[in-house]
Amino acid sequence: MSKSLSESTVIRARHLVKRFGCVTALDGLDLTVECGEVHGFLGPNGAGKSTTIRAILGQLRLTSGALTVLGRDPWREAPVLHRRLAYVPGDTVLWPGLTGGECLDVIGRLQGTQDRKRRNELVERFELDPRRRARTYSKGNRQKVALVAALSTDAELLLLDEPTSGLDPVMEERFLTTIREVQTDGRTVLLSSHILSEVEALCDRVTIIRAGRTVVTDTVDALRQDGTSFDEVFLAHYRDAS
Amino acid sequence: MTGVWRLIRLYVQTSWVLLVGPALALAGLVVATASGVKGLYPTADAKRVYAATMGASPAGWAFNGRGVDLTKIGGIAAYEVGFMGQLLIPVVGLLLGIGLTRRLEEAGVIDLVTSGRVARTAVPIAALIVGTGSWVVFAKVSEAGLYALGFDRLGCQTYPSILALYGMAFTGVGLLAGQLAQGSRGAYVLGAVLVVAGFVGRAYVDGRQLRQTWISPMSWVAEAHPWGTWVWWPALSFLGLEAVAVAVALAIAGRRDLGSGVLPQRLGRGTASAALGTPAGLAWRLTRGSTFGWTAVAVIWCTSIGLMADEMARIIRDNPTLAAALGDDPSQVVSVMSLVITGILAGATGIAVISRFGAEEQAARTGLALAGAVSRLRMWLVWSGIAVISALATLFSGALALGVAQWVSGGSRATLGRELRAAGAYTAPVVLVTVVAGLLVAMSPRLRSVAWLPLGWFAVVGLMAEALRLPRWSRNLSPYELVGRVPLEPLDRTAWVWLVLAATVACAAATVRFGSRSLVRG
Repeated sequence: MSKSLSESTVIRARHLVKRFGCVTALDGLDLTVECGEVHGFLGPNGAGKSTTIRAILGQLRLTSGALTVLGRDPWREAPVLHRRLAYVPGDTVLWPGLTGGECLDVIGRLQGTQDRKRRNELVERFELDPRRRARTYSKGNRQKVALVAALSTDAELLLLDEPTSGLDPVMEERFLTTIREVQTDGRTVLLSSHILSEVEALCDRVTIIRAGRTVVTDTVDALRQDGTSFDEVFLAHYRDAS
Repeated sequence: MTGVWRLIRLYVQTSWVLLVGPALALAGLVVATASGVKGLYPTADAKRVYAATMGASPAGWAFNGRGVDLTKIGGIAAYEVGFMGQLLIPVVGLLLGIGLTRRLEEAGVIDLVTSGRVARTAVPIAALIVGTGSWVVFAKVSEAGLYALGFDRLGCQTYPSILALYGMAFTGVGLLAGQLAQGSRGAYVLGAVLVVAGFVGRAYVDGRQLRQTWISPMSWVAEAHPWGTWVWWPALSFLGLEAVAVAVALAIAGRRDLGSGVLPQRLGRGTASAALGTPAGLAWRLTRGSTFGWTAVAVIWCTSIGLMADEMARIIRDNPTLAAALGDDPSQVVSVMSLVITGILAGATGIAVISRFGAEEQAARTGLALAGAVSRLRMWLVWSGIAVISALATLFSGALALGVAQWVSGGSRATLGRELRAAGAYTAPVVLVTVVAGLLVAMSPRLRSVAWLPLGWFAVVGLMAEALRLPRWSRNLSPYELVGRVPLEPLDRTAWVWLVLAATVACAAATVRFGSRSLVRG
């Protein structure tokens, strides 16, 4: 794995603003993700999580604000950056005429650091039939393709946007195991999720956002220091912000 | 039958463009052709010459079907609607039958609908009813248009009616294909195979004047004699074909699992080929079907015309009206006709390929691909390059087929070089059409369907400018006209250079625009 140790902050976002016409999706959002951590990214529907991830990917042009990923500007240097990161969308749409195996190879090869051995191991682990056409896949199977494609690369940063939506409990458990392995490797993960138990189990630090703004960033332990459950912490911050 | 009326209301609310748009476009084609023909053959003598030339040609029979009642203006109009009508009407029927059932099932709409108080069989029944309504709209608008032009009153009713019955039969075939195949793409391919087989079968039977006109439904419209003494068996046959197709479709719909089909699905490769993981490999894999499809149409068209070139030239020579309208070198006129249409088919290839890029972006797949180490500039330029190369491949494949067919039928090898050189003249319009479609996609992927509108006009100019007696200024809106009617006329080099410059500017603008905007989905 080619990790640059000099970059302690992997994602640094300051006062991000993104407007789509009269709709403000990001309204001064701040986010800092440190090297080697699994960072939870929480917020209600429409809070701006996916918009932030698309900005990190360099697919959206920000209205204002400063964003660096692995020390680079994602809008200007996307291809160089993308060789060092991998992405799992929340609702994976695959090429219906290709098989699952072809889809995950296309994604992996366009990323550029696919490990064939790891790919085959993950296909087994997630019980994916790679010979079936993508059009015949359920939502969970489409999600597995994107997960296997991302996790079989040598990427330093994994951007996971609700990666377990559609997965059954057994596959969710295997996902947790796999992310712990990734964590042990020292790789960085930004995990956007609505499943609070998943975030609590995996994440070192958490950022909660609402209406395009950061509500709080802290460690999971610090957030629940008075003995409250993580669910209650999230709901309390949600209520305070509204 | 539970839920049929609820579904009909849903279809009318959500699919009215599909239900009304093609019906009006087809009615417009019929009425516009009739209007043009009326002006071209105003006298009884002109009609007799038409019947003696166009109506007596085996090549014409193979192409347009048997001409009947050609001494009447209605009969000539029906003959001129010819192969366009024979192909477009069943295609619209298939679009309705498949678009209202399998395509919606694939999108998950039918899952949602049938979770309410709606029976599975209500879906094809409701689609049949609204599809029939669409054909009634077509028949009534055509009837009103023909009547307004002063055509025979009875024919104004019988001709649109037999065309509508033809369309209804293929709506039934579309419903059946939608039940047989597991995906809408497979259903469209199955339907297209049936249409091509029907056309080839009809061309063989009519071209050789065989008596077995019952073999292909495409012979039945003429056999009904809508502008003469009405014959009932074709109308009843259309209804019978529709009834059988719908009955089988309903039987399948009542028994199969939602989301499944009858035709088996084969397993594919477990890994991708090395080329598929590159922007060019991915673009080619996703667009090769449409490129092969349009190229096959161009090659079939050019081969057919090339083999019949001598006879068509003789028909034009023997028909003073046609000769006056088309020009004084009939063999060159045939080449121009073939190459302009091939150029338009090549433009269709280019638009289809670049439009797929827009469709990929709207489906969020471009975002997934661009999350890799490929720059958006590279992805865009590679895809645009594939679009231009595919379009030119269609153009030169057609020209090659035309030249070889003329060589085989006429014995002169010189035609091959002539047609390939002439095709070079049409490269500029083909590239311009493709690049302008690319500019629209670069501005917004939602605009990609707009690119087909000008090509539709260029097709009308290329196919029917004489029949519709279009004024010169309106013909010059087509870049295929601007380069000159090559090889009948010399290439207009100034126009060619201007078209290339316009294409270069459009390409640069598209690249800048795509590079500077956000992806619409990712």
